[in-house]
Amino acid sequence: MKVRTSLSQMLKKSLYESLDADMLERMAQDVIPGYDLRQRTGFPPNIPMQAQTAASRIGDDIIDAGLFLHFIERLARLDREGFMGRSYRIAGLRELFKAIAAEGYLWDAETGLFMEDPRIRRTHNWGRLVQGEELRLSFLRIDIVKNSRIVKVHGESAARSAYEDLRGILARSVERRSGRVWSFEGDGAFAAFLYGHSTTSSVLAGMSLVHELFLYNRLYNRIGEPIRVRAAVHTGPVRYVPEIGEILKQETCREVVEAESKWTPTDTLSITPAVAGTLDRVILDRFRPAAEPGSRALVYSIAMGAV
Amino acid sequence: MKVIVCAADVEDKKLASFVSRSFSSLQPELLLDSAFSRVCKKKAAGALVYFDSSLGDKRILELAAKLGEVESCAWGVIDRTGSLPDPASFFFAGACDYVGPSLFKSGLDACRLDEALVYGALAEEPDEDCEEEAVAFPGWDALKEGEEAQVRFCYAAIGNQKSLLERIGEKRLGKLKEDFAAFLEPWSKECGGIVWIKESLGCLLLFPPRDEGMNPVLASFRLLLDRALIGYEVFKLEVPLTFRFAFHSGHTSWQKPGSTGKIVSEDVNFVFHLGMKAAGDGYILVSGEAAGAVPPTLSDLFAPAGDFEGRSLIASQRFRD
Repeated sequence: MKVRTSLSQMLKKSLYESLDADMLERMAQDVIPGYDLRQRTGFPPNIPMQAQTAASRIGDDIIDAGLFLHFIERLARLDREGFMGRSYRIAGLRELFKAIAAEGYLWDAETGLFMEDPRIRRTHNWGRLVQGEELRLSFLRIDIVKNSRIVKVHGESAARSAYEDLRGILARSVERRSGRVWSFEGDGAFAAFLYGHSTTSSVLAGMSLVHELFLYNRLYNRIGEPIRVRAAVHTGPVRYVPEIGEILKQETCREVVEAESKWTPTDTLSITPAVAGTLDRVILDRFRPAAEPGSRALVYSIAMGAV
Repeated sequence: MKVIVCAADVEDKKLASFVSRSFSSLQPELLLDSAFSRVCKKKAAGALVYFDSSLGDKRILELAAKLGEVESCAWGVIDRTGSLPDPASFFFAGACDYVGPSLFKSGLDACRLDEALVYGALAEEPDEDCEEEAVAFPGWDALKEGEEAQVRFCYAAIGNQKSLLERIGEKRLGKLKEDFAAFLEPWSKECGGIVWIKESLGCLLLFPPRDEGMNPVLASFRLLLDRALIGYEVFKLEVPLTFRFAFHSGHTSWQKPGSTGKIVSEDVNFVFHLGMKAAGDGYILVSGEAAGAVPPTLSDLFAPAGDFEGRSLIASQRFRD
């Protein structure tokens, strides 16, 4: 996020009106591990530092590191929860939130994180993830069944058109639940979820995808053969890097691919035990144990029968 | 009625626009030549198939010959540029329609399509009622109080209310029903309809006699498909939610919503009985009079469901939890 001078000044004012230099350094260290205010300012340890000086240095360093939103989120938590049993009020926090909203970022109360306003822009990192950041994400993985055969039989142009439709269906299911489609290749796709109840959102997006594809194949499919997928959801830690391909090599992503390829029948969504444990009963009850021997996954598919 | 358009390029925007303008209420399918050849025996039964001139006249006649083995099927040709050398040859080969450049530009209206269907023996000669039906619906605001109107009725209700009463209590169930009725307002509007009468158990919705916007049976099917998501995300319920739908076509004396207390209509009585006594949770029940409202793309999911009060019924498959 590009931080305007007025917003930077607003932050610095808020900092020196609310916290002393020691506490400011402590907060900065939560966002930039090992941050040393004295080293950054050149103040010797035996000379007291004014809050205004500390706030100015920290404000600039935080913005230079691209961690402005992360720092505001830390201040919001301090304002809400206090620190070491002591409560702190952050002056001007409401105005900071308003100014950030005007820049196109929304506050997600569930996670205590800012995210880009999807009405303004949608980037794959929600406009805020930074390199090296450790996060717990949920992933929805889909695999297009018999992809090569579809291309071979119907030709590249018709297959591409059908896959564009599928991509649109996936994007609608994912983005309306604050997720992001991270990759869409010929044989499948990955979507990531961070905000709100991210695991629930990813499962609901997967269920919605199964429904929408069922309707698409009946109503709009123009290649004369249904597009069928296997979908799986898993959650776990990820270290963010801007190259999505590198993230997809990490353990959590490999696990969701394994769940999709090993335990998921066609036209079905599967969820791993890590996901199942976080779901509300009303959604969890829609899933049944996977039939494959050795699987601990639960699966969901559309079930219809005679009246 | 099912409409299939077969073309050499299904991404052709002008063709897609013509298809959408001419057959929007029929959920038309655009198929490539190769796809059509493979599935024509399965898909073309009961369908009106249009071949686009991009296929060339020889290929059109080859594909049309394949339709000879298909039951209840008719075909026509779309020739947007007038480039096909001998349109009469298609009629000699059994075509029932030819869409030339000017018709391609304007699109087919309902009457023109009906004529093609009659010529292709896919429909009977319209009687006076059909002519009346073909007249465009004037809109709810244009109807005068007391005027007789032909409509599609839909009884829509929250399903499994007895169990919900036990699980969430009377107060929350009452609120849920209010929220459901409010939810149905924009939902029915997308199908050109309105929420007409709100009752304690469910709502009676009205739709135009022909599709205007989304098909209401398809929209109901979608709600049933998404019932778990709607229950959780829209109504914030921690217990399962389902719906029941009953459709009927008929006449009623028009009154505005909220002024319907004195309406005497056999069809209104019937659809209330159908919804409350015959319909069940998780599926759509349709009277014989409204069977035409079921989109062809869903018709294989519907089956005869006996009679009720002297009228035949069809029912969709039931969604299972």
